[in-house]
Amino acid sequence: MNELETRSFAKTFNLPEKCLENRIGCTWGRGNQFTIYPRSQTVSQAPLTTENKLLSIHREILLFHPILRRLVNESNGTFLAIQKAAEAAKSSDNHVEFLKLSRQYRSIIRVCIESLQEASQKTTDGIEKNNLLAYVTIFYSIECIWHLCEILHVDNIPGDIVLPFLLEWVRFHFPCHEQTAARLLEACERGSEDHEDYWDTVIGMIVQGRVYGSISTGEFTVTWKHWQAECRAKLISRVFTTQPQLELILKRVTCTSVTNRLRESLILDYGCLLTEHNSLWPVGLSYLVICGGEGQRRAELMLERLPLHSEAKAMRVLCEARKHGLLGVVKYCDFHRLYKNREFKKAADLLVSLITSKIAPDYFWDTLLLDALPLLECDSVVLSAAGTCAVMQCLERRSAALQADSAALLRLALARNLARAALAETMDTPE
Amino acid sequence: MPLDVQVTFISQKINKIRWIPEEYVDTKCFLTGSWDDDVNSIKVWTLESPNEEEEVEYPRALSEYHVDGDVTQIKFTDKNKIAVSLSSGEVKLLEISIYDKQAPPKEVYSWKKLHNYGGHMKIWDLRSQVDKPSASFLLAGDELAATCITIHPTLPHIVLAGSESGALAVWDLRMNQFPSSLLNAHSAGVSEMQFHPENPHKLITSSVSGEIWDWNMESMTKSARGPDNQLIWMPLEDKNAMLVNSLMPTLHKAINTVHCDKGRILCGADNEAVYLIKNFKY
Repeated sequence: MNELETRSFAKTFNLPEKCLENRIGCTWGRGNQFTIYPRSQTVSQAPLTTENKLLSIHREILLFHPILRRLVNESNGTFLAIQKAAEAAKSSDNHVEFLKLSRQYRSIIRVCIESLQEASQKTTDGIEKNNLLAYVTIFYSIECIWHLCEILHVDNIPGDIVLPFLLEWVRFHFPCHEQTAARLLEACERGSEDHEDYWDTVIGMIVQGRVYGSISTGEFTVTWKHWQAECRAKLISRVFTTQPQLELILKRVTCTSVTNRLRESLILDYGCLLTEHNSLWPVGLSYLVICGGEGQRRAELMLERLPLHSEAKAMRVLCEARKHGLLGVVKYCDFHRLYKNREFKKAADLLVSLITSKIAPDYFWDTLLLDALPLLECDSVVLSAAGTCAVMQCLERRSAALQADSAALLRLALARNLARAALAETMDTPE
Repeated sequence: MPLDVQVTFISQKINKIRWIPEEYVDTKCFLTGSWDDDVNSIKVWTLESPNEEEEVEYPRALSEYHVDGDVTQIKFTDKNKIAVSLSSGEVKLLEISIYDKQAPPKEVYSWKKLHNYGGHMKIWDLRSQVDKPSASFLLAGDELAATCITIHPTLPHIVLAGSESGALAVWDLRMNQFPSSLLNAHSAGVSEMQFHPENPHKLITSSVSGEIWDWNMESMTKSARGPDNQLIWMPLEDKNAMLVNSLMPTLHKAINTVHCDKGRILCGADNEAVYLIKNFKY
């Protein structure tokens, strides 16, 4: 993208403080936040004209509004129930359950719309009122589209004859013409054709009625679905394995790979967004961990960066990590538990596996390596010769993570332990 | 009538929930304390029906009191005063107006840096001049932290503690320092427990694994005569023998707190919701 195009996409914001007259620095924070600060590298004699302030900048996120937070939490329950139902659907047909959960989602959205409307009526702040009404429009559209998708994709309609359901959907979401018609008919006055809405209504009814009149939409859907099902069956029976290009095209047509990837990237984005919030982070986590390797990686990164204000919070973070099988954090705690229980041999094995598997983030390497020191100084040999060599290798590759004197100390301890371990191991081996 | 569970999402993770006691009628008001949010608070709620005819009652927030840090405990010290402990190490004494609950709670007193967190249970004699506990009890190993503790309402020598692993420990204070029973119960930390105020055989526990159970603890009061004709309390066997009921389908997030008043149980959870369970038989 060239510069001009970039500029047309960029938004410009004016910052309230005048701290940015000279050089500025910028650092990313957790999630979509960054801090900008004045960075003056020349010592000037002139009195400071800028205010020394840090500006923390973050996006305002719609879903963090208290009313929408309810939606986020409640729908998370439904999402997790669907994951369970999907698991069960592998062995048996679970269509009824899916339909029930889809309706649950829609009812959650409807409750949210009601709360938003109620709040918009109560507020006296004009801007807030407009915002709330804008949210109502957004969620109303979401529910409307969802309902349509439910009819087309979730509901198992006998014979796939979706037309009556579509008509119901049209009536439900666009009732204005029908209502006006009913009103006009009820009034039953002569000259109702002079009513200003008369022709709009008639045309509207005809348009909606034409949907009803022609079966072509229904027929099309049935044929399309039939063909998709046929392709899917052929894909499964591996008819196209000799023609990878053709197979790829068919996968696209039957929407298997594309929708899965799109779905996963949307869930990842949503999960990441929620982890930014101080209270909603476990909700975000539950979305990330169902997204395979990429989700796991993001979840681990997120957990490491969570600010821990209290022991209770730390315990809860660990509990979540354990629940979702996020190994790095949990293994390190297991190591400390073993060490505390004086199970030094097991602790040493776990530490070596943590060091050699390289799952630890950069900032954690010094802690991890220095944790080996007391184990190397145990009365009996707990780190095997092979394990010691592995740690030595990692130390040399990562020596920058440690201060020079700690690195030297660790090298000495490793060398001494290697000698002890080698000796002990040769003595144990029968001649 | 069957158990009736009603959920309300309130946009705050609830760490403590308490009914506000009323003298002659069933109370309609309760308190919540939040945790793990940008701003935490104590809120006063009332249950009310949106329509006169309808039986369902929904909580509506009446007033709010902001606090620094997580709310870690709420205890009534008087019928209109509560002691609130915070993760910052502070304890506040707040007054709730009996007549006008719309008025936010008022601070009466505050103590700073009182907090203590550990893996043992210690008994302190306040009259003693020595700066040491008069007795000390261990949960199991050093590494297992107690997450909640309660005294049996009619057997004051029986103390129960929940652990961070989900186990329930029962001590008989007249015996040695190890628990007389240690039951594996919830699959993750026990968050709170309460003996039913009107039936000491009923215990209600909530857990980080999202479970809320009621226990029949009748067997705890059974005793036998030992060799020297001394009373020995029966140790509790596994939890299956204790008639444990689940009061709600397991939640996917932690239930942090539970409080029961006659046939109604309130609980607060990490999915930013409060649950009202009605028609509980006790």
